[in-house]
Amino acid sequence: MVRLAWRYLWSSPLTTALNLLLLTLGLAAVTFVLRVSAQVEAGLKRDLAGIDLVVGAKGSPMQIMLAGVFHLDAPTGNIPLATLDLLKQQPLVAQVVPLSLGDSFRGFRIAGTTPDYVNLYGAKLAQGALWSRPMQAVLGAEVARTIGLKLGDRFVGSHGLAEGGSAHGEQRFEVVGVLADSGSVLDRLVLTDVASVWVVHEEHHAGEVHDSHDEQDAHREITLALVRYRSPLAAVMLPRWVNAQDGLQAAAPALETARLMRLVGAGTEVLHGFGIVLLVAAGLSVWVALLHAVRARQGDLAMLRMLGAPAHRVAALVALEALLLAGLAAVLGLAAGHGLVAALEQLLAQRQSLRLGPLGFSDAEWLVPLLAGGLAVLAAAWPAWRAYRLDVTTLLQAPR
Amino acid sequence: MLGWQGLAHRYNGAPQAIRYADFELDAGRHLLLRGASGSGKSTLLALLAGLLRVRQGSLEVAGTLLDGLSPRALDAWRGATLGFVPQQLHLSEALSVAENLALPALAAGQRADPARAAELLAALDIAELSGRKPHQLSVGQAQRVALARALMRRPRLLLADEPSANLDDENTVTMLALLLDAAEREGCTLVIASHDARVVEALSARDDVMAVVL
Repeated sequence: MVRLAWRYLWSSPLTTALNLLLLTLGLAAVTFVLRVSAQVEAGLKRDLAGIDLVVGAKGSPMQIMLAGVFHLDAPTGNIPLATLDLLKQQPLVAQVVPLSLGDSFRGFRIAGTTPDYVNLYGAKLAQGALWSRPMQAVLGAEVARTIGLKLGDRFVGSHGLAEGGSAHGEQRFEVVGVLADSGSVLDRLVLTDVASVWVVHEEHHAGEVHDSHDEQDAHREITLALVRYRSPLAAVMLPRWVNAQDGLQAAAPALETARLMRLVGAGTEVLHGFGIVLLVAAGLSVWVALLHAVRARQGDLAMLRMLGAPAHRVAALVALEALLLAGLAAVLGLAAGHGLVAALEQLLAQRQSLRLGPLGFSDAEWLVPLLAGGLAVLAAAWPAWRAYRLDVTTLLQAPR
Repeated sequence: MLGWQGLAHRYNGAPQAIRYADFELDAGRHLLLRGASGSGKSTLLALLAGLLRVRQGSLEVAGTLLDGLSPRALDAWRGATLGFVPQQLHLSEALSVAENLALPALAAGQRADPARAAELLAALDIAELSGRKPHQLSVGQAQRVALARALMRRPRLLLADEPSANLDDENTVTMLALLLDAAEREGCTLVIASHDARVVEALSARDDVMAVVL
């Protein structure tokens, strides 16, 4: 029966190919939206890595969150190094990790921090060790892959977070470690000691009068502080306290991410709607094609009845055609959807932007074959009923 | 083996039923159903084929009383007992000759029997056509393929509806000979429905054919 349905399906190759194309496009669009939504959400969750609060200079909380957690935007400014101690003294704070940004190497951000930052993501070293003093650098997996630096190699960072900034003269970083792929934001960062950033920038401002060590510390700055709460109560108290401090701004990544998803959600819904419109058009097209096929093949179907096929088997044959078409479209649609996501992933990697989650089958994607099957059943219902009700006695003598 | 008593059929909405005089076919003989359009020939053929349910009278075909059989049982009986060569041959254009010959088995939910198909194609001198599509066949070749399809499940009754339609004199004679030979070879009863004078004349001369005029 399956073979027969397959042969009938392809007896009108052009119609079948067009219907297949329509269904595939619709299912690919739905797959793409489901997959990207799931992967973006997973990617965001993974990069949040338990960070409850980001503290930066006064400005947009969204910008602080994008700069501090996802490394996508420029930070709002710098905050005094003393902020770290202030935060650590708060009883509701469990951990504070400093982050100093401002430089990059071939487009990859250099982040001055402490080993705690690596531990936040549970990242492991693939080679070497973490930094033990300033001007030692640990490369994220993607950075190492893209740039090709090895342990012991030296490089000079450039000013600014994007490619094209001025080089930082004689201050060279030494690669002492490479992180294993963690699928997180760490993959595309160059990590170093927080003091490296001061060393580089003090060198950058050479010629200016140098203060004593304590005075230097008093003037030193970091870009952001990543905070983990000790208790859920902190979510209510701490942002208020931070915002009340002169020059400090708190950004709660969970809230800002939810806001971001709401903003992105409109675009997702448009894409979703587009996919559904394509699917409805495809469903109608399959319906018309099947109705036409039943009419054109009335003789064949009547002959099957004459040969002893029960009415339900003839109806099933028509439905099977639609299901085979839908099955094929589901496979092609899923493949095309995955291909589009892979292309997007490639594009994001080239732009050193947000990473999507790991490729694989997401739970929501099982909806795609179900959707295709449901659409096929709907489209085939009336034509199959017509086949079921076929009047064999009149057809057997009617001219074709 | 084949006969009816008090048989009548009334279509929904029709003012009156079509009534058939009682008949019984002698053992070992074939049947010619003659009659002009509207005489009830097609209805009798549909009753014989189990496509219409017997609601009045009694009808026995190939040793089975068809009156009272459910549509489902009639489907199964038809597939197992009947071979049919329709006026319009209804060979599926989407399928090759060999695949058309697999349809009777598929219709009954069984596996195709390629050996039986090859045997019949050889017997009908069209063995070389098995891979062709129906539109690549001549009218005569298509008639033979339709006959082979009807014989695939070794029917006990072979129905042929207007087998000479669209055929010239020579092909009409050939087709009748093929039908009679096949019925003899396969040991089945042949029922031919026709209003073609050439068919009537050719079959009336045979002792092994009984005619029913409607």
